[in-house]
Amino acid sequence: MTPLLEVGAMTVNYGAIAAVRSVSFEVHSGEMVVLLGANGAGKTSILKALSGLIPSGGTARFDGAGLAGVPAHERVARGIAQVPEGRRIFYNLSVKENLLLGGWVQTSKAALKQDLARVLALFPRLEERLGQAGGTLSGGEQQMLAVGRALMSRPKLVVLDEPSMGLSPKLVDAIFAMLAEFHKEGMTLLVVEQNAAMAQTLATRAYVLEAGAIALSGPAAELRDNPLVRRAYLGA
Amino acid sequence: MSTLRKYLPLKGAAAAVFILALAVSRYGLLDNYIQLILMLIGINLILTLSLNLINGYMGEFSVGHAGFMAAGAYVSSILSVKVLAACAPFWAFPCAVLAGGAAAGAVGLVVAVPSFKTRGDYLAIVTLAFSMIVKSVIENIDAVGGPRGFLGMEKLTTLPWVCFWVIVTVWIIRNFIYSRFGRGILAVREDEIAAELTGVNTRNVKMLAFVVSSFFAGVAGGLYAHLLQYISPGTFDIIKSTEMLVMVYLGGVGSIAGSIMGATAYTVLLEALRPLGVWRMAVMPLLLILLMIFRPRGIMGFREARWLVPGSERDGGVKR
Repeated sequence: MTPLLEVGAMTVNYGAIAAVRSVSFEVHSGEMVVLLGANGAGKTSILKALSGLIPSGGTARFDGAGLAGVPAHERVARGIAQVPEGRRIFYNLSVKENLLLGGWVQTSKAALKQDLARVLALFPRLEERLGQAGGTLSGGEQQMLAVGRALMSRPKLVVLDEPSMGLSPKLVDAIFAMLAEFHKEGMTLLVVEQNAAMAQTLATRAYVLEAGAIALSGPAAELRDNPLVRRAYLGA
Repeated sequence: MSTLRKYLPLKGAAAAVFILALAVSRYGLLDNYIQLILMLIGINLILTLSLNLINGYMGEFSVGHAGFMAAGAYVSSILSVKVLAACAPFWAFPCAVLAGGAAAGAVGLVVAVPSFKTRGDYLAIVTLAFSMIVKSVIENIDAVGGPRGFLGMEKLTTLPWVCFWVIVTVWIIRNFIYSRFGRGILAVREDEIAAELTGVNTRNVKMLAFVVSSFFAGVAGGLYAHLLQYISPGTFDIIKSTEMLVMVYLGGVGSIAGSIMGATAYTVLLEALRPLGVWRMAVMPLLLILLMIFRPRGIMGFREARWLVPGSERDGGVKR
């Protein structure tokens, strides 16, 4: 079976500095794949390149079509939705407007309304806050909003950049429980995380990044028992 | 008051205002000076809304809108003097104004293409340079009078016409802002990268907004030219652009009601301060400085009068 997303020999350079060196990975439909790595390992650069925000070398194919030269907004239309690092919700716009913007690629008003209802059913808390400005939400609610916004575009692949960042342990649990639920329902997820323990319990497969290259990869459960990973990320 | 607003449809109110303007103009209910001020308020309102779309809603910074106004003023004047003068039925004037707006919109597109190719604050520099180019180009075309200016237009701008164009402008800009594209414009203002990541084609959205904005600046130029019956390159210099900025920031960025207030307050104040002579031009910038210190977002900054918000957006549609 051809993978939904296939990245081959991706490179990202910032001037003379190589942030990502020949990284290859794939995500199959229905999988939850985790990219693990310490600060500066190149995780966010990979995601930025994947979403078309920065230029990159190598090949990338999504849903049977090449991604070379496809601008960021067009990639959303093709089915890649991203929950960016730091959430990046629209602070001065209402929760409703944030969500509707997530469904920008949807031009049918009726379908947009349907999508909004579907996302609000997933996040009842957001429905209570519909008219409130996004910036007035708590950190956890903002994360929900960012995820909800991404789901509005009916994505085939949801990419999350450190969803646990800046949240209390209790909220991190809640966010990961939610991701596990989405995964169980058949959603395809690509998650970048530093929170290795949590991510690996849930993921199908994992890639471990070190200094811009993939150091290890395999089924998440196997990696969890790898002494190297345990030492580097799990503090064991 | 709020119940009145709720039950008085906006369209009815617009029609009533238009009929009132017709009556005032036909039966001379107000003296000519007051009518002139009202017309100037209307023209300034169109300019303010036009600039507010870019500087307020989209969060970019244009400082050369006088250039678009000039394009509209000259194109509509040339049309009405050299082409339409002979036949001139009543619809000739709106056509000339429309053509002025279209010309300004086309010029706006030419400015937008290089300006929005990259992210960042290039627009201020590009528009500033552009308005200087427009001024020197007109100064060097003898066919339109060069630096001496252009005249010969009849006084076709009347209170009902200004009223008509104000209603059209408010209606179109309001619907634009509350449309899918309008939401995209707000997203660009808030966070351009996040907008791109939600699928908004930010470049197209910005160009569309810029063309709409320059179109209305051109319309205002056409009305202005046929009101004063004389235009010169000096009319559309950096001072004119600054006036527009003052009106936008006085009334409030990102607000139609604010633009109405800003244009009205500025126009009326400028007239009221006439006894001060040249000093009045010092009072207005001073006002702007005080405003920036005490109320940096203007009177209505990012807030909208409820009656201007479409019913479907009233709940869950805070903060424009």
